[in-house]
Amino acid sequence: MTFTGHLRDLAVALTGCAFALLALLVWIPLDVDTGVIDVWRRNVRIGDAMLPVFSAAGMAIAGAVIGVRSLMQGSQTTPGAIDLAFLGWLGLTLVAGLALMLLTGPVVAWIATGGETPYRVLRATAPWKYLGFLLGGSVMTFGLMALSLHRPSCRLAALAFVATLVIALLYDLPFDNLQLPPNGDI
Amino acid sequence: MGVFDYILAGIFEAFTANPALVLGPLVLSWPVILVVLGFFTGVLIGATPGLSGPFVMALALPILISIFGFTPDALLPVLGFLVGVMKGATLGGAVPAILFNTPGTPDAFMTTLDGHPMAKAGQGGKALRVAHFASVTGDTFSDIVLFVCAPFLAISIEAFLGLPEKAALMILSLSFVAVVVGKDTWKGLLSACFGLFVASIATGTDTYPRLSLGSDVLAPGLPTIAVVIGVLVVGEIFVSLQEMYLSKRARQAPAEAPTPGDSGLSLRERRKLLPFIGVSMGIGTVIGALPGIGTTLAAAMGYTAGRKMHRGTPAFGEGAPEGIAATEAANSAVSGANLIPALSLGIPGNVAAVFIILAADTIGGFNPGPGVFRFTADVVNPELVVAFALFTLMVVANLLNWLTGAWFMRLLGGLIRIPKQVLLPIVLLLTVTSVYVEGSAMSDVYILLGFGFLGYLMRVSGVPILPFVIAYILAGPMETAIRNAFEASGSDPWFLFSSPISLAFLALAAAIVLGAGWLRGTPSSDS
Repeated sequence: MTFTGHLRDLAVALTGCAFALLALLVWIPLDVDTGVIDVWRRNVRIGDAMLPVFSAAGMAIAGAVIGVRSLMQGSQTTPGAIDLAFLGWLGLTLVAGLALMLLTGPVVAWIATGGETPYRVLRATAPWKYLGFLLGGSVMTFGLMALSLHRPSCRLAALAFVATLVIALLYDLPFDNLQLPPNGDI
Repeated sequence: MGVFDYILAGIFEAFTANPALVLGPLVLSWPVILVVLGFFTGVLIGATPGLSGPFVMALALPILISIFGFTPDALLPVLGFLVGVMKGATLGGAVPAILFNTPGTPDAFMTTLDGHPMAKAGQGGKALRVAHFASVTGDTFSDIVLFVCAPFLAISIEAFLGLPEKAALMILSLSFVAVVVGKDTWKGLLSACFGLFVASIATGTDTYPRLSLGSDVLAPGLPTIAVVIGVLVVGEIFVSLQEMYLSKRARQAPAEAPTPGDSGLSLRERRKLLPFIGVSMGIGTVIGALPGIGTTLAAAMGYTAGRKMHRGTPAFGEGAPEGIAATEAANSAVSGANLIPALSLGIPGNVAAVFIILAADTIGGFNPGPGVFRFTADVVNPELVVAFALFTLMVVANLLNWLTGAWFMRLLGGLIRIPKQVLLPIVLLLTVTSVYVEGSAMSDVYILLGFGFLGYLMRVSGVPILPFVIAYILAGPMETAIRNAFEASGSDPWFLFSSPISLAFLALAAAIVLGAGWLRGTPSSDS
C-alpha cells in the first residue's frame, strides 16, 4: 500500500463525488429546461436532464466506491507526480505565450500608426499577421524547451523562432482561407 | 445495385471521383495522394520516440478539414490520410525499438527485447525486414477480416436488433471499454460517466442548450476536436514535459545507433516466421475487434504465445527474429480489426477509430454504424459506397506498405534523432495552431488547454483517458437511441428490459462491471 496512492485515490473520489453532487443538486436543476422525463402535448418523452443526471449519478457511485475502497484497503498504485513548480512554470509560459500572441499585433499597430489604423484592418496583411504568432509562439516554444531541458540558451531560442516561423509559413502560405492565431477573431 | 456493383462503385470513388491530376486515361485522386502522404507521415511519426499516430491525426484533422471543407468530397481524402497514418505509425514504431532500444510507440516495447540485441549483433537491417514482413502480413490479414466481418456484423445488427437492443448494445460497449481500459474498473467508470456528462453540455433537444451556464461561448456546444485533442494529446504532452523536467535523462548523451548491417531475409527465413506471424495476427485481430483493448496487450500476448512456440537458439529476448515477428504481427493486426466496431456499430474501439468517427461526424455524409451497410437495390446508398472506397484506400495503404515499407524504415534510421525536449513544445504549438485554424476562435485554444490540463490530472491520477473520449463521442448517438427506443415503446419505462436480447446485453454490462471489480479487487501495481 502506498500512502501517496491512497491520498490520490481519495482526492479522485472526493473530486468525483463533489462534482457529481454539485451537478445533481445545483447545476442540472438550475440549467436544464426539462426533467429526466418530460410531458409535452400529452406525450411522455425523455427530457434533457436524463443524460446529465444518469452520468452524474454514475460519477457519484464510482467516486464513492473508489473512496470507500481507498479507506478500507488503501491503494497499491504509485500515482504519477504532480509537480507544482513545473505546473507553475508551464502555466506561466502558456499564459505569457498566449498573451503575447493576442497583444503584440494590436500594440505594435497602435504604436506604428499612432492609433489611426486599428489592428483589425491590418490583421490579414504581412507583416502584421505574423507578429503576434511569431512572438507568442516563439516564447511559448522556447519556454517549454528550456523548462524540460533545464537550460535556456540562445540556440534553443533560435530553434524555437525557426520552428514557429516554419509553422506560420506552413499554415499561411498555401492556404488563403486559414488565419493564424489570433487573427481570426480579433 | 448488387453487392458487386457497390464494391465497384467504392473502388471507382476512391480512384477517380476526386481527381487531383488527370493525364489522359491516368487519374491521380486526392484520396490516393492523401493515403500515400498519411502512410509516410505515419511511419515517420511512429519512428520518432515521443510521438505517435494519434499526435499526427490530431494535428492533421483540423488542418485537413480546413483545407478540404465540409463537403462530401472532403470525406475520403481526410479518412484516407487518417488510415495511412494509422498503418504507417504502427510500422514506424519498430524502427527506434530495434535500432536505438527506444520504442517509438508503446506497443513496440516488446520489439526492443529481440530487435535491439539483433541490431547490436550487426543484424539491424534484418530485424527491420522481419518487423516489416510481420507487420504488413498481420495488417493485411486484419484488413481482410474487417472487410468480411464489418458488413456481416452490421447486416446482422440491422436484421436482428431493434431500437432498445441497439441502445443496450451501446451501454454494453461503453461499460466494456470503461472496465477493460486502464487498471482500475471504477476509475474507468468514473472517466466514462464524466465523458457522458461533458458531452451533455450545450446539447439536447430543448431550445435552451442544457448546462451552458447562459454563456455565449458554451451555447453552440463544446468544440469536439478541441476537447478530444486536449484530453488525448495535450494532456500527454504535459505529462511528458513534466517527466523530462523531473528526469535527469534529458542531460544524457543520446545512445549511438548501431549500423543496420545485414538486411537480407530469405524465403526460407520468411517461411520459418510464418507460424509465429499466423498465431500472433489471430490474437491481434481478436483483441482488435473488442473495443478498448489496445495494441500493447496484443503485442504482449503475441510475444508470450510466440515464446511458448519457440524452440532453439537464439532464445526469445536474446535476438530471436521470431520474437520480433510475434510482436509486430500482433500489434499490426489490431489496426484493421479495431475498425470493426467503429464501422459496423459506430462504436470507436481505439484512438485511431475515435479520429475516424470524429472526421466523419465533423464533415458529415457518413455516419459509421449499422446503417452504412444497407445494400439497397433500388436506391444507391452513398454511405456504403464510401465504406467500400475506404476499404479500397486501406488496400492501397497495404500495397504501399508491402512495396515501400521496408525501404522507408531503413531510410528513417538516420532521421529520427530529434530529442523529445525540442519536439514536444513544437508539437504543442502545432496543435494549438491546428485547433485555432479550424474554428478561428481563441476560445477553442483555451478549451484545448483546459482539457489538456484535465488530461494531465487524469493521467497522473491513474484515471484512464480512453473511456472519457469514447463516452464523449458515443454520448450523442446513445442518447438519441435511448430517446427513440423510449418513444417507439409508447413511453414504456421498462423499454430497455422489454426484449430478451436487450436484457441480456444489460445483464452482461452489469456482470462485466461487477465481475471485473470483484476479480481485480484493488487495482494492480504500476508494473
